[in-house]
Amino acid sequence: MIHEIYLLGGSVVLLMVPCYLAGSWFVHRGGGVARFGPATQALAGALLLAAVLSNLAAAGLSHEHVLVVRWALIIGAVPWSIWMRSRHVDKTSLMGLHASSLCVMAVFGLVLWVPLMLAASGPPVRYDAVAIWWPKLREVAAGLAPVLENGPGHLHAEYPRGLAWLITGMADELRSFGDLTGASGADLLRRTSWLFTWLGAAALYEAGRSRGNSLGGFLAGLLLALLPATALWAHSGYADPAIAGAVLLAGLGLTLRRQGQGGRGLAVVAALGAASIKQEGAVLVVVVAGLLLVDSVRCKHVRFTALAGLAAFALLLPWALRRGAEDAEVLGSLGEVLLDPMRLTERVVAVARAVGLFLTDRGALVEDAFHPPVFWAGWVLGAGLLVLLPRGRSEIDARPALVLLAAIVAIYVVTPFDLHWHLRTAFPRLLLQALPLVLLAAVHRITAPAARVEASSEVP
Amino acid sequence: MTDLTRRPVLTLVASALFLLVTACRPPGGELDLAVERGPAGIAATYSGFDGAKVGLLVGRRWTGREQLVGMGPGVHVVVPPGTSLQARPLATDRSRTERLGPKALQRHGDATVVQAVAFGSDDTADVVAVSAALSVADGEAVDGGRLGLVIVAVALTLWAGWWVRRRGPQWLARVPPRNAGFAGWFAVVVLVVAALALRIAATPLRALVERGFEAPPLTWPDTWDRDLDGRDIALGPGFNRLLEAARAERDEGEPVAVVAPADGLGMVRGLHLSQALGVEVTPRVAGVAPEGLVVWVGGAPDGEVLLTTGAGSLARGGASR
Repeated sequence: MIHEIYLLGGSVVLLMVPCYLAGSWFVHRGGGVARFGPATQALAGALLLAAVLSNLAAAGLSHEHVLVVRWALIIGAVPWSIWMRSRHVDKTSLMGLHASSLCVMAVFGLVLWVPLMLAASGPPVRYDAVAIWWPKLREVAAGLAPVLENGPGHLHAEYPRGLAWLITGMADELRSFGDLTGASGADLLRRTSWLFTWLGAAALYEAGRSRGNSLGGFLAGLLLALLPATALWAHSGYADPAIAGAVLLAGLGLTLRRQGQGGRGLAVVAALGAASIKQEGAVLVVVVAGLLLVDSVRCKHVRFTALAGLAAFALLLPWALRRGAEDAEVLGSLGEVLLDPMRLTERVVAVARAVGLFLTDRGALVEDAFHPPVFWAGWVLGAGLLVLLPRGRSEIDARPALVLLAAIVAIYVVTPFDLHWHLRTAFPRLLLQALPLVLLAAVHRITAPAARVEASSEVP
Repeated sequence: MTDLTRRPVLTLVASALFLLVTACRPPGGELDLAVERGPAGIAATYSGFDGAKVGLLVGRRWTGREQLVGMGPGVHVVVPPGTSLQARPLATDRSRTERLGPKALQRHGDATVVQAVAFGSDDTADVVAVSAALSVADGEAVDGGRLGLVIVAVALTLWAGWWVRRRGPQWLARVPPRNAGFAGWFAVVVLVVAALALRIAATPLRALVERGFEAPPLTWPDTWDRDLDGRDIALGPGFNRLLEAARAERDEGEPVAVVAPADGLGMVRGLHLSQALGVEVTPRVAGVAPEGLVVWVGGAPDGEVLLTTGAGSLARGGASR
């Protein structure tokens, strides 16, 4: 057992360290990510690496040069971090490695221990991991140019390669993992899902601690780590834990921004990282850009109007971007849906019905007779939304998760594609992407010291 | 944002909706299915939906073969080990019974197919699924009432939230203001304890956990070995045997074909076989290996079948679709 802990724990630390170092770029004179802790910093670094490396490769930089840039990002961040911390950040911790954060990460690591063992014990078997994410990793690791045409099956060849570049970079220093085009790549794919899940749970604690609510943050992180759905997705090899981390980080960045402590870069890189990993991450880019824009408007009423405009914008932009790629038939049927009130109503009712079924029958929406336990996560998310709905805003900015949820459900409704397919496959994952940030904001709202809540409620 | 908790009228609206939905609910009922393992084999029983025609299907998940074994309510079926439905008897006497509520899976025209599934298995690799399914004309047999319950539950939660927030501090007059967040702490702790209890109490099947269909338990069960090689479990019993046999045949220079069953995991299994056999599957294209390669998903082996396991068949010669 001790040997297993040593091997598996050691590999996780090795996976985390470069991400942590790259995240040092987000330490600045306002504090930035240093206000949180190592897990948040590593999360930020992972998304930064995914965004930068995949986009450089897409721009035509060679495989070797991309990896050189990666090393430059990691090594260059160290003197930057030391300089910033020595001048602007309090020196209560060494390189931001708060002892309490490390302890909490160890606790969450134990809670998520079995998924880590499973990640290391066998191949990925979830369809998306094998058919969508693994081939991209093999393509990047083999140094091949991306081919965007889809073959038979549901392969999403057009998805960005951010996750593949992140893992390829990790393996660059973990030579013992061997050939990434083979089973070693699959192994790392599953461990990366776990890494994002683990960092996300620990980031909840760090966010709570940074707001003076350590216990609330710890309970939020523990609840997230204990949910069956989290344990399932932690070893799935899917990209959704990474998207969930990006949504969480965007919320934390906007929270810092709201309090005049920087955070814009954090939010933007989180969104770009999400967009570099999965197509639907592009919606997060639009959401974060819009929220930054809206927050810059001082007048409250103008701000709400701008928010409404943003909602419409968020709805239409992806379609405007895809106009060139889709055939005329799809766009024609889109207009048909938008102009047909009955059809639109039918789809809205179908979503409401699906949500109802989802919350009462834990197998209602899944594509297989076996039931992924997203059911409990749905209830926790619903409770979190109920806590956040009443007037007065939360101290933690949950808008990226809320707007993302609303925007993607709206896209489900107005686009002509099979609604039930969305609801059975993507919708449960969408809930999990929004869950960490909603959970953090809700738990903090109902457990933060009363005076603090009242003060934040008064802020327009 | 509008304060919805200030509007208890929502409760009235929701109650009215619930009554409406319930009143519109066509006759139907709960479909209850149980599967148990006994010395005689897997026994499956279902009840509910009196008067409706219900088919009871029994099959092994891996082969995807299902056989209609009974019609009519209250059917009790025993499938003995060693029948065509089971490639091999279950290894241990341990069994698992799970009762699930009915699922409205999909609509076919005017009908909704409602299905309940239960599993019986040992702790290693074999999973036997028993499902009862029926087609209810004019659908909505089950979920209408459930949707109404959800609406009422949401409304009651909203009302309770409003009440606790507005009246709670006065009601708990002895609670000093600094502890006004007691209800919040209480709710969070209850949720954490419930989640912990859920994970401790859960006893998932290893086969389902390895295949990514079920959440893993909180701690590694003593009955699960620690070999850290779950390939045989994850990809089906006999996967490793099939792989080794295919490697041996290939090393002898014989053209061989591996045919993976065309069930839900066929493509996954096929890709893993291709990868492990070193078959040239372009990294850009996952899934079904194109013609000319030795790994097939679906179809039938053409030549002499050398080995058949739950993960597929190995044939000398070729394969055809």
